[in-house]
Amino acid sequence: MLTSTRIDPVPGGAGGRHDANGHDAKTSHSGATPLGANSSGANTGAQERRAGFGLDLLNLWVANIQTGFGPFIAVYLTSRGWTQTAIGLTLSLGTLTAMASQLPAGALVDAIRSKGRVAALSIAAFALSALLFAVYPVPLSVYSAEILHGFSSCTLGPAIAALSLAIAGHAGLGRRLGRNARFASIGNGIGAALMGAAGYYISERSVFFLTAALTLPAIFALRRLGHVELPVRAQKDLKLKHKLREIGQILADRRLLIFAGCAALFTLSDAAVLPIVGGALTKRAGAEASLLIAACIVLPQIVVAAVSPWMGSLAETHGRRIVLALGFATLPVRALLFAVVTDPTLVVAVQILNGVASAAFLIMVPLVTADIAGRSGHFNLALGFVGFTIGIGGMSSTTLAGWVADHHGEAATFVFLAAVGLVATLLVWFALPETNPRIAEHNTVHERKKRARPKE
Amino acid sequence: MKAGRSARLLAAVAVLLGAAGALADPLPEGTAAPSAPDAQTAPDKAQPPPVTEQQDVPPVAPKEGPTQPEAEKPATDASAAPKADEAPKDEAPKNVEPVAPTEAFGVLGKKVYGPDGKDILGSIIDILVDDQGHPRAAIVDFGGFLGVGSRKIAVDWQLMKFHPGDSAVPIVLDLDRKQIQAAPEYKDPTRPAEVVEPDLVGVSATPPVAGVVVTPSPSADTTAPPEPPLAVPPAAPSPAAPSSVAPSSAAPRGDVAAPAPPPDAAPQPNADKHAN
Repeated sequence: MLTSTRIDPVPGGAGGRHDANGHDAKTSHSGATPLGANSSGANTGAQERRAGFGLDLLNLWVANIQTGFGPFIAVYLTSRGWTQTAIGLTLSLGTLTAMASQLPAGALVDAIRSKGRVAALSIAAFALSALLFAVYPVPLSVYSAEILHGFSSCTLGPAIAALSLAIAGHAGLGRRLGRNARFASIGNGIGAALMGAAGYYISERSVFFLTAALTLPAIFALRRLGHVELPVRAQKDLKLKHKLREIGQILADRRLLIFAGCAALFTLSDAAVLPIVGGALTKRAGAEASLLIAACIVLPQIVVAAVSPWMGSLAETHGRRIVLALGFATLPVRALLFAVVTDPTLVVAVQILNGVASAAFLIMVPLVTADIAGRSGHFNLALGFVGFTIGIGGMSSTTLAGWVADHHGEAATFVFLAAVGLVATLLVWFALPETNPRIAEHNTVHERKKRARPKE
Repeated sequence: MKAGRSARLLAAVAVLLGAAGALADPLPEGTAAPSAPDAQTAPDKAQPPPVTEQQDVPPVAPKEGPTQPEAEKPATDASAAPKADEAPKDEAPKNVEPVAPTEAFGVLGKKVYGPDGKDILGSIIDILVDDQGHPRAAIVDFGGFLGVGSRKIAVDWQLMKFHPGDSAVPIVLDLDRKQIQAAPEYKDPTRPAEVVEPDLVGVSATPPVAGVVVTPSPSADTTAPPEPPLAVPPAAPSPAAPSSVAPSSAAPRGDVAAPAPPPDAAPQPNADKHAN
């Protein structure tokens, strides 16, 4: 609480300086002053545990909040008598905002030193947009709420990743992200249960009041973290031109490009599956269809909560590629199973595979990005870039899957999505280099040794 | 302190935006009307009003009150004296006819109940009308969880029963779950909608000739599902489905001549419900 207010006064004149001079002065400052000491000093014993616990809770509550904004918005607006056209416009507005904000939001999070403050403001923006939805659902406020939510979700994700990196350090990041995923999925599960119950028993509108109320515990969880700052490699060159070149270098990193491509294909293969499965369940199953769909959403969350810490450790000990391959390989299997399986119980069971995939994906996106851009000062920008490609994958997934479903039927759609998943898996396995710095180094040493003595 | 500050900021912006929204009220389409009164009263939902900016809303709301069906209960023709604050609208033009919510009501987004009056089947999200402006079919969205996995189907307008005065069960769809599940999905407004027809479904075997009330409004009150008059057994839904479906563009039915039965059908169940 005190620590966070200290940020402005402590740099003293610098606070005013980077208002005037923009980014250049700011970066020089973070490189020159021992601000890193602030966070490295925090990395001791009880305080670290306290911060870790705060992160756990933060992930839980934030995931909880996010549940209400999603496909449910269409249900809510329908209940308010909105036309399908207006609802479609609203949802596209949200998607487009989120897509357009990824890179700028990443750059913004990079530029703001206190990631905690970014997270707090983003959560506050969530609360505001939930209230706008709930209190005054007319087009002006709904569109504002969608834009607000679209942008702030692009700042919140990277901010939490940056907080995790700062608190856990690069060496502990895999395990940290594993815990993040565990608590986020618990939050998702709780959120789905709470919001589903509120929507069913009270009213559609109450879901958004509940969402707004749940931002409060998220803010309190954030306060436990104290002041956290991402230590950045000292930067000697401060000119904008050089910064741009640096950004260009990171975004052109071959590993980042391949990984972004894999991530886009992952979402392309994944995003359309659940809506199709849900629609099929609604068609096939009776009154219990809604419960089955709820199970299809909650079961993977339970799996994520169970396996993600283990996956985080696995990424540290055995490398990122093995975890990625494991998660990605479930994509084609799941899609093919859905093409064959029709029994509702089995359909829900197949969703276990979705849990494995989600866990790997949730952990690996920030982890691999941190491997590549962690200390460059452009971590969040790189994360925004990956988020952008993920968004493209998600958007094209529903469009393409819808097209295939219309022309060739449901089974063909699943085969198509399985094929995309297979390509993504092959890309991970054959094209993506290991990014775990320790293992990557070990590999090169090993290879050099092998080359030194070819055969005995 | 961080939290305190952001909370204050949040409150300030919320109030600002609420005010901005209030100013902008008259301009957007019909949506403003249904939303505003609800924001003020939040009637049957047992919704606690936890938020301060709700106080921003009421001043705007009462203007367009009576579009909302729920609040009105009187059995009599409520059109004569609905509300005193109608005044500003009434005084200027003479060609205005007050239509009470017990007489006609907005149905977009309203829940659709099954024949037993308990089961919520889905909600009306759109209405298909012909070149006379007569409703041909309702698009009903049903199923799903938090918006995931819902399906849209088109059902013939004759299958919908409207009870404008009844706040508990205002809209009934004479189809059971099996029939709804068997119905083909309504996807694209540019393509022929496959509308579930009443006679083939077997619910109301009587072809709707003139503005005759379609039979089953009593059967809607009985708990028995409307299976008996059925010629085609719904036990085999998938083969039955295609036969019960007519692409609306390909079927210019003669019986469309029966114009707008719902208003005729409405008063009776309406009166029934009020007796309760």
